[in-house]
Amino acid sequence: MKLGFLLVALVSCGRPRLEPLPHPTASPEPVPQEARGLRAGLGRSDITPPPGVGLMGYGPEGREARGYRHRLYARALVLEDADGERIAFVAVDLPAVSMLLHRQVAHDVVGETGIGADRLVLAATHTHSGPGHFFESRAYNALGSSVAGFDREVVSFLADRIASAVREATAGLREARVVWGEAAVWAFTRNRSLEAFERNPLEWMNRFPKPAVLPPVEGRVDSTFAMLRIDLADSGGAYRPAGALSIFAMHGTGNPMANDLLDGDLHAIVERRVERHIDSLNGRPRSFHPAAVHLVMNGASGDVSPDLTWFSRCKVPALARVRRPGGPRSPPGPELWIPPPAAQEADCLQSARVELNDFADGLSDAAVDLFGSLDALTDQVSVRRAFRAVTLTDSAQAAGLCAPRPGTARVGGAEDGSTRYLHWRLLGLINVGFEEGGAAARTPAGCHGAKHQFLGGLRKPLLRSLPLPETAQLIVVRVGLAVLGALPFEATTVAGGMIRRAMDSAVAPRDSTARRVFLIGLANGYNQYVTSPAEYEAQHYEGGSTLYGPRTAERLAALMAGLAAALPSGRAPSPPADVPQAYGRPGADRDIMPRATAGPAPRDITRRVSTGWEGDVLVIRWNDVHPGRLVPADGPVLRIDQQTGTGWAPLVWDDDRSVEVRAVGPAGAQGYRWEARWSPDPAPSGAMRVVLMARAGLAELVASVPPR
Amino acid sequence: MESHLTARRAWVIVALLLSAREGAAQALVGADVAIENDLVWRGLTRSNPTSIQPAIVVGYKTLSSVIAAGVWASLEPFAPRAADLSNVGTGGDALGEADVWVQWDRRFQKLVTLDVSLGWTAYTFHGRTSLGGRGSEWDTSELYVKAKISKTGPLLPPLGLPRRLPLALEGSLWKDLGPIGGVYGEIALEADLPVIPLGEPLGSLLLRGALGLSAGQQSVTGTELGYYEGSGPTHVELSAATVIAVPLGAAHLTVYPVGHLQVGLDEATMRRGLGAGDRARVFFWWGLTVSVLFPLRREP
Repeated sequence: MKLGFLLVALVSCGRPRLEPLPHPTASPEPVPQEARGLRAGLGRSDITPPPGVGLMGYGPEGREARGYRHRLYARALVLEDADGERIAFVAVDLPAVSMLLHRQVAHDVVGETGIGADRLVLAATHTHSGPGHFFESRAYNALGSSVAGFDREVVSFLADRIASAVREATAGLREARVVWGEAAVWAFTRNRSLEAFERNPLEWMNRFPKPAVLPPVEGRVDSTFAMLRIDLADSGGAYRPAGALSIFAMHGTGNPMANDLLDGDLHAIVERRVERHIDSLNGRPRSFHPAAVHLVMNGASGDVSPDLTWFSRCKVPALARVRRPGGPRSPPGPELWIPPPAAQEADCLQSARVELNDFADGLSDAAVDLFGSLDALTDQVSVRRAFRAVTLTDSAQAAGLCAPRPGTARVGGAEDGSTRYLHWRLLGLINVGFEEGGAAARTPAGCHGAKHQFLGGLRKPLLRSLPLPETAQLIVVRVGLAVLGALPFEATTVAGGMIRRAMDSAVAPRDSTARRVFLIGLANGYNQYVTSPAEYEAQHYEGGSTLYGPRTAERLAALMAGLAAALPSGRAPSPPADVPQAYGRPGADRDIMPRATAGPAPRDITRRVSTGWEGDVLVIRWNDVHPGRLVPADGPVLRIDQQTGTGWAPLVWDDDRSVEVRAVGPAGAQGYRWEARWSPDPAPSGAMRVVLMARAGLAELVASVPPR
Repeated sequence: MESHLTARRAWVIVALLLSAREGAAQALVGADVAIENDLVWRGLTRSNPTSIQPAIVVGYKTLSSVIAAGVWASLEPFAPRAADLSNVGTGGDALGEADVWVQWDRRFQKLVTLDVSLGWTAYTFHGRTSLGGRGSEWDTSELYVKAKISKTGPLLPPLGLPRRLPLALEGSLWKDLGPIGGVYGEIALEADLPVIPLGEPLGSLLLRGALGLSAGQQSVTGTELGYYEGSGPTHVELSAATVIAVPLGAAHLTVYPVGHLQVGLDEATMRRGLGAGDRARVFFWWGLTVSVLFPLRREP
């Protein structure tokens, strides 16, 4: 649906219905275990939906997914200490996590695993190439991408699979040794909102000193790459490397807005690279899924972008008058959003993906090095948590928070994700604030201070029909010497520092041992950004997206410090957690994700495949069932083999950065046309074949690859 | 002989223009229907009764060029009063005027955008002179050239200037090939102001001020055909229009309401009727056009 029509329709529909979120979801009391030390379990579940969903992260610029590249996964780590205290960390390759999704997963697994909402840290990698449509707030469902709407089927699809990963991890709990480590990773990220950053009154102190050879601007981010290495006991009692949990602040914006493929983005490459590395340490052969599991979570990434070049950012459509065929008396053509030429966009995407791969390889090297350096593993680790669901609009005046309102500064998008509306002016002349900084109110007034809010009198009905979240779920977890604060915000570097310092101060009086405080952003819900008060005044994209006003960071710091202070010292149990009934207003349910009933059944289709080279790219075309019947998450779709002396050995599956799979279009009675493009680097020699995997109702199909 | 020559000129232009095929291209067909309370053309009131003007256009569009041909007609379904100006004349048939045209547009885009158009058009009149209308003796054709210069790229946002300067300057020259002779020219300043950016339907406001100029298009002796009373400035026309684009599947529907305020600078452009007192230096007229454009095929 076109945005203009959509807004009119939404406003006319009024406030969406209030719906209860799954309940109850509180965890049961921990039961002390017989083992004397830590136990851990790892799990993984493919969550790649079929093409047809909207790609969320770039707002209305987010395209409809036409296929996939790196598949999306939920990776779970369950830890249980000797006192039976359990916590589940789940990293999902999604743009964000909704409270609805968090509660649904907790509801689904609490009975079987003892992990309720108060013991579940469900955090998004923040890939901007993942699906939306699963939020309890209609605003995110309506405006999260160019495909608008809430789809309950997406919630079920994701929750079922995420729950499966948590169950797998819980079922696999066994003796474990872990160790925390951290390293400085320089020159991979940059502060994308420097002008706002520089307004902070105190100089930003990085955890690690910046190398002198780097310019000062490189030090405007938190360069800490934190990792928990996990070794599990094998059947013989020996401990083998099994997985890791990493935290690094960085937006998942390796893919530009022009991307139309579901993709785990930069984080996917780092995840897989460490997993393959661990598998190689254990002598495991390459397989579709690595045996190791590497969770990557985001830190205070609000103003942190991958330090990619501008060549990797594709142009957005521009408003221009269409030259229509006409004569002396013809009316002028309409003014429309004109996309950049397709060839230009294809070139841009190509160069963006090359850059994305190179960038992520470098970051992966750092992660692998860090993993290898962590050797002081121990099983004497305690796990504790403190949880609170905060209603952000209750006693707003007293807490210094405001009712959620977006600012006009967010309309133009972030510095490296500018939307088509950036710098747009009313009648071409009047600045209405669709630009970073240009929206700051000259005379700050009211609860929202410097935030300029667009639309004047129209704002109320629009916000009424597009409600924003009013609850935030906060959790602080202690795992050994590390204190982790997980919150549903994208905190900027400085705001994250404020919150971390507050947590550290809260823990310090009781715990003088060397400790680390880390922040996990985009966890257990999505409440957009939080900036420092000084950054808020600048009203850049991040300030315009700080929904609850200028004092949000201070309030969150106090709340997180309160939770950190509530963590018991010694072996006392975690404080009780109140997991209240939560509600949402997701809007009307729409069939967005293609359904399993789409198109002809597998038995009515005869699959045919053709292969051929287009330059250095192997193009595989075949007919298959419709998206919806073909769900990537259900398993591998194709494999490319190379002939060896003893037979065939797999080269790649359709979960590799060199393989792009697209749903092309309907093929009538023969189902749907699909296409895979493999760009090997370097191209292998020798005979190759393509194997379309057997799936329910469809036999395996093998096709030879012609010589190049 | 005259019509044969003009037709041959048209075919030469078409042949030349078709050779300009390039890059991604699109064939289009469109239809317009306009309604105007007065039919005014280059400052001259042709018809006071409300007229309906259907038009059909076919075109071929590449990245930088558009070649198009079309037919336009003016119907006057409402009988004129005795003092009205009318193409068909009192008691005439509804069809007053039917024109054909072919036009080639080329866009040059560097620091500024330059749009150049070359075209040929033929005017045929189907009214009766004896009834006060315009008959075939007014039939003629013209070659014309237009050039429009505008700025579309970023324009020093740090200085607070808009990224897209909404002003364009347009000049056009029309050489009559038939009985009228002479040249008509027009200079216009246009402001193209985006109004609703957030999504379709998109709307924009077009403000335009134009000055008409005639060189030799007047009747010198009073017996031969001529449009104006003299040479020089003919009229000033100020217009305001909105262009509302509504997506219609692959097609686009455009609604184009427009209002004009005209200041006559020539006796002919002040003539508002056949009566002695029907003279107005300043008057208002309006129109509404609904236009639909379908892509016929798209090349990759």
